[in-house]
Amino acid sequence: MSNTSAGEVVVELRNVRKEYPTGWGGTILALDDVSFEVYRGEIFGLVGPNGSGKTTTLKLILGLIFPTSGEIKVFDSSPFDISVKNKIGFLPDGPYFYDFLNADELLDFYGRLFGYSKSERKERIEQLLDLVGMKRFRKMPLRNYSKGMMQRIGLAQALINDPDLLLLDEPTTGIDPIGAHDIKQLMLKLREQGKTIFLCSHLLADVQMICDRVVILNLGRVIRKGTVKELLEPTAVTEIVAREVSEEVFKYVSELGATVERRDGDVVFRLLDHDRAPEVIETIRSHNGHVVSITRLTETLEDVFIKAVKEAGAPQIT
Amino acid sequence: MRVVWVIARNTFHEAIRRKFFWVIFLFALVAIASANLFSGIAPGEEKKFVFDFGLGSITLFGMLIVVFLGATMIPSEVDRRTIFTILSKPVRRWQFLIGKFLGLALTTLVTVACMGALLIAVHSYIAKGLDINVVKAVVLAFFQLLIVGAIALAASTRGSLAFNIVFAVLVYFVGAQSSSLLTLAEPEKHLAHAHTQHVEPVSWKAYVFRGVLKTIYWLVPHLDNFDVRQAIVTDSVVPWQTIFNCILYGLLYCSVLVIVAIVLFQDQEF
Ligand SMILES: Nc1ncnc2c1ncn2[C@@H]1O[C@H](COP(=O)(O)OP(=O)(O)OP(=O)(O)O)[C@@H](O)[C@H]1O
Ligand SMILES: [Mg+2]
Repeated sequence: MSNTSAGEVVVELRNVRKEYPTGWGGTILALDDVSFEVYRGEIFGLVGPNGSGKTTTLKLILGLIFPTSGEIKVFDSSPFDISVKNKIGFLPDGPYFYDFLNADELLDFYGRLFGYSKSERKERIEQLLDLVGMKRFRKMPLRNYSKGMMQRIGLAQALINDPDLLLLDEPTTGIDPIGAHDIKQLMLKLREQGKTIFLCSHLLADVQMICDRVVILNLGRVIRKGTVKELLEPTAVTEIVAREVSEEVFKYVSELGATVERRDGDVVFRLLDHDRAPEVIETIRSHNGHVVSITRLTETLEDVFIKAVKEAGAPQIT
Repeated sequence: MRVVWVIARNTFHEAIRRKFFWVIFLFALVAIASANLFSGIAPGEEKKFVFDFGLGSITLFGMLIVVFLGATMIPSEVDRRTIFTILSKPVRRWQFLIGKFLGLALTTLVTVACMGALLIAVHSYIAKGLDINVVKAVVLAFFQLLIVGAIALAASTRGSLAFNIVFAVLVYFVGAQSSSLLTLAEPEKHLAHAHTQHVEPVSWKAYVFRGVLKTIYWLVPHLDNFDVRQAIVTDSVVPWQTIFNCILYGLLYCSVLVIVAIVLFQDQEF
């Protein structure tokens, strides 16, 4: 994992609030006092239930919508600064493009917007079509594309300017398992190249696996933030499985604050304090018991997410 | 400028790949080409009939194309969410909008040029010679359509599709009658010779009504200036000065509309 804590800030939100007008003078509160930063060279994960404000956050960073209050900085500039856009790539959720074009023409169009020469565009398009595995379909009009094919072209389009900051809204929805795996590998590769990736996703296992830092949103508020380690560490337990454990050991270990459970003739001790583990193992052994396994267990990001959202009050689905 | 051109080019390409565009365009060409078949209706007046019918076709079908393209241009980018990826590239909102307008203008130009060329050919065939007035009329028809397209485009940055189409067509019809608005608003001036004896005091209601009419008169494009059919049918010469003035007026009017559209578009949320 790259060390990001001391890095340069690429995206910064300070006390951002966003209300959408809803006709007749009403408003919907989509973001409420949201603050966080994204550092250069990290994969940043923004997660949250449906309607928690992830896409809204992305649109604010891109200057597609305006904050009601608060401050947003991208590469130390305003999101409305056009030069910033040269360093950004964006894949929207459920992307859709000019469907009268084919993949070649579409990427050429986006390449032209950046002012690339004909040969630069050609070279770049070759690389990108290869990267997203769409070379075979390059001459097919986009109106005949499947959802996953559209998503792949969306990814190619986001990478056309070799961006330093890549904003991805649900990049793997609709993509087959091999494609999804490739995209994850691609994100890791881009991080190695020093790129920053801002990922919105519901796939918490993926987020846990590849993200350096995570913010959990719920109902427009930040309810957890930190490195994946910081979020999961407090939930860690050490599990010691042993056999032929005497009553004495039972009593001793319970006094250390461990929970004890019998499972298929084995005894399972769960310790919150990992430093106590050697002591427990020593005691088991000195009373002629066998230690079968020692495992450090943490909750998954999904567990943490569900708990955090429940605590904060999940929107009720009735 | 490069970005504006890229957008304009793409807009043009999209327009000419739409089915409805070709349906209307081909229909218009068929109508113009067959004008001399119907010209038997008016024996001795074939030339005039072909001209009137042809120019009418250009205006009507051109208007269908221009209003529909103009009114759907921005909403379709928003609905299809293609605007997300474009505005997250180094494209300023005003560049996008001007690109869209120029794309519309280019489509209109190509459409009117084709229809106009056909009309000129048919008319020259019947008249056994080129009548420069027909060329002038086609040029004016282009600028007239350009204004209507710009209205539809400007309206489409706000407002719903149905509203924008109705609005643009309405402005066209009011604009085509704009001088009669003035006649209504200032009856004394226009009817002065007939009733010089006594001028009735104007009631406040009539006063407000006239004010509204005058405001509308100043807001709508004065499209009746573009209508040189009367002059041509009566075989009088349309002076180049008139054509020049109309072109200048058309360009200015469109510029103002595009600026209004940019202002309306600038703080839109997507
Ligand atoms: N254009 C809009 N007008 C009004 N309300 C909106 C608009 N866009 C989003 N919202 C509201 O803002 C809130 C946040 O929406 P947002 O799209 O940011 O959620 P999200 O986290 O991306 O959800 P999902 O996981 O479903 O993609 C929701 O309550 C939504 O109803
Ligand atoms: Mg979303």
